[in-house]
Amino acid sequence: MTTPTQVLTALQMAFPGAQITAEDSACGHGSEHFSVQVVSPDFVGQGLVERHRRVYAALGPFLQEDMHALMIEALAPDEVRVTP
Amino acid sequence: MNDLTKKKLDDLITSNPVMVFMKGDRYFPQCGFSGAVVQILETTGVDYETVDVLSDPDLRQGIKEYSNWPTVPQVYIGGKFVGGSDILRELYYRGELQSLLEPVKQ
Repeated sequence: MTTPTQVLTALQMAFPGAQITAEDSACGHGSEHFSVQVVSPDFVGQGLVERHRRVYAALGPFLQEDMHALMIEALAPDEVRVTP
Repeated sequence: MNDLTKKKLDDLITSNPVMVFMKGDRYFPQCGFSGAVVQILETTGVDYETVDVLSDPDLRQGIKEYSNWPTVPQVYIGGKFVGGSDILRELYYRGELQSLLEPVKQ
């Protein structure tokens, strides 16, 4: 079973120096749903598709195994905002 | 992915200005992410076409390879891969989705 800590560690390795959060967002039905936010200066000038591909690449092994849903926010530092 | 699947995907993407690969259909999305895509597109008022990948295992696997993207839903606008539901929502909040859709609106 994948834990938020494992997800966080994988992201920290892939995005050194980024601000990262990883939460289990399952609504109590037992499947593995995660919500991650990566805020990295690396993302400046990078398109959203490219950013998300990098997050998927970092979490590849989990996606193959038991991760059923993954919500990604990949932002440059100046794009962070309070989401509605 | 076999040639037939690739050709099918090519055809769907080139012949539909807004093409959505999803689980379920617009009336009965079978997952929250697919539902979110439908909801956002409905808000924009654009015409779009959907394919239910759950009804076709070849397409379900094929589209992941085709787009080099591991998840469904996937959205193509004007023949170009735009992303999944998180990206669509982000573009919508930024106001960029509306500009992307402008050229394909009637």
